[in-house]
Amino acid sequence: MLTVALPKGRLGDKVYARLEAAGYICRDMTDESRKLVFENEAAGVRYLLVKPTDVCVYVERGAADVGIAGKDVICETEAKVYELLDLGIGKCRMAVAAKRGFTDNPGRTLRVATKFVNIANKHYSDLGRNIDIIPLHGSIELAPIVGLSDVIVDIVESGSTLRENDLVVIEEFMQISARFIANVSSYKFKEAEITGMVSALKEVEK
Amino acid sequence: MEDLISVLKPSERLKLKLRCLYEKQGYRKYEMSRFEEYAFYLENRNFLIDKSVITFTDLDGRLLALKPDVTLSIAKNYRGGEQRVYYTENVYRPDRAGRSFKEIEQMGLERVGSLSPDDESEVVSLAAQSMRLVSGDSMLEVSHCGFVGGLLAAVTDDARLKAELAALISEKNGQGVARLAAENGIAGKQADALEEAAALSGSFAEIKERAGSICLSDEAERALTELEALDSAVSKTSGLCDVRYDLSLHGAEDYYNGVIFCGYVRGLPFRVLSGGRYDALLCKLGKNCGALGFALYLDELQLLYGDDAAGRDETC
Repeated sequence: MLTVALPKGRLGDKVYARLEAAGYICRDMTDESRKLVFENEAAGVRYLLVKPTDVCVYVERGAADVGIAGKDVICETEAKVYELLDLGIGKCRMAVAAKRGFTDNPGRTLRVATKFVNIANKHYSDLGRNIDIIPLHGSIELAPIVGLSDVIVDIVESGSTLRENDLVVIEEFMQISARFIANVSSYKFKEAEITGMVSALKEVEK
Repeated sequence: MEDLISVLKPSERLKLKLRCLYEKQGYRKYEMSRFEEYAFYLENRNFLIDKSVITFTDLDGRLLALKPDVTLSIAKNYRGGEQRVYYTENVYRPDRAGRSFKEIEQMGLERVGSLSPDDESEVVSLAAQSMRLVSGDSMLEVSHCGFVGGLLAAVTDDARLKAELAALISEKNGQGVARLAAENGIAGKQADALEEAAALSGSFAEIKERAGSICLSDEAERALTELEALDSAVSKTSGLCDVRYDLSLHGAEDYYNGVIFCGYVRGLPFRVLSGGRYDALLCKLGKNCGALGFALYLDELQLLYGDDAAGRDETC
């Protein structure tokens, strides 16, 4: 039996459709219920529905053997997990954006508003740029508009939110998509089951 | 005596069993001070698992540290000859979330001196026997730093690219390895070997042929030959846990330089034992000899044994 941490929401729906097509069916999953745990013993699978940003925690700490998490969440949480497959869904980019016409002045500290504190820190550390991180939990686009920050580091999918707020992407530095991850210890003891699930998902992709 | 043993908690019984195992093999208990000069850790930061250390000023003005690591102290105090020691010590490191320091109880074993292949197999066997005492459903995973190190040395001189590829291999991220290799002009057999290394695991018999077919350098070949000899020697020992090989495991570049291993227990999320060959540390301390050892993280076993003696594991 494999316990799978699935992200709630749109990404989770897409991922579950892929898992169902690969044979890991759990009919109850499509019910409009508030249940968080779904199991199909015959298919050898138990699903946990969790907040997308918590998938790595469930997997790294062994509450789930495997899970599906965005590359952004894996990098931000710095989870020590195996990353076994890029599912190629939920594609977007991590980008730096600013008000139209913004010019960076390397002579002073750059103020960066973001939900992704670790990712932003690492990116600017690699560039050797001195920054002041402003952690926010939502409406990141507002920060440069009201002068709270010079730039934002955030996920960009279509770019429409940025356009509507007169912001422009000035740099893209990370390709993001949903990844199939596994707990390191679970992998040691359930390698055949886990690699079997990876192979089935690859087959469906074809 | 039975009465005395019956009141012990499983973790206490485990420590006694391990002491017994190590003493029978000729290892002697090593006692050490809880404090060490901070400057010593500063000079050898690359050999610390976590760089954060609790410091305080002693009454004579010296800056001291609460011990974050035991191996460093053993290496520092090595005075020559053949040293076989084991220890039970508390170390002080940041917790997993990195928010506060934590006291961690470790039990470990170190062998320092002119190490032969037999000595190496003895220590790896003791690690596997220790894991068997921890749980009947446990595993020791063995590898050699020289395998992935040898592959990487054969494909690039760029230290940053090597580190990025090494990180992807240890995450078993084969697609990531292939992508990064392609972006950096690494193709054909070389790219295939790196991608394959991320997935190489199983018994030695299962991985031998696949690993042999992707050796890109003499260093990788030597590593595989050493592992084969090690597997042959270790498999003759009794009382072992399941011993497997995973060549994606290659350890911290600065710390380990040869055989490397980790112990896992079914149902526990993190490794409970780690060890390997660390000659480079002795070399940095000006001591020309070999060193090999392991640490068992006793605090990781709390989930296994539960709150009290009611959850005793009969293997202990």
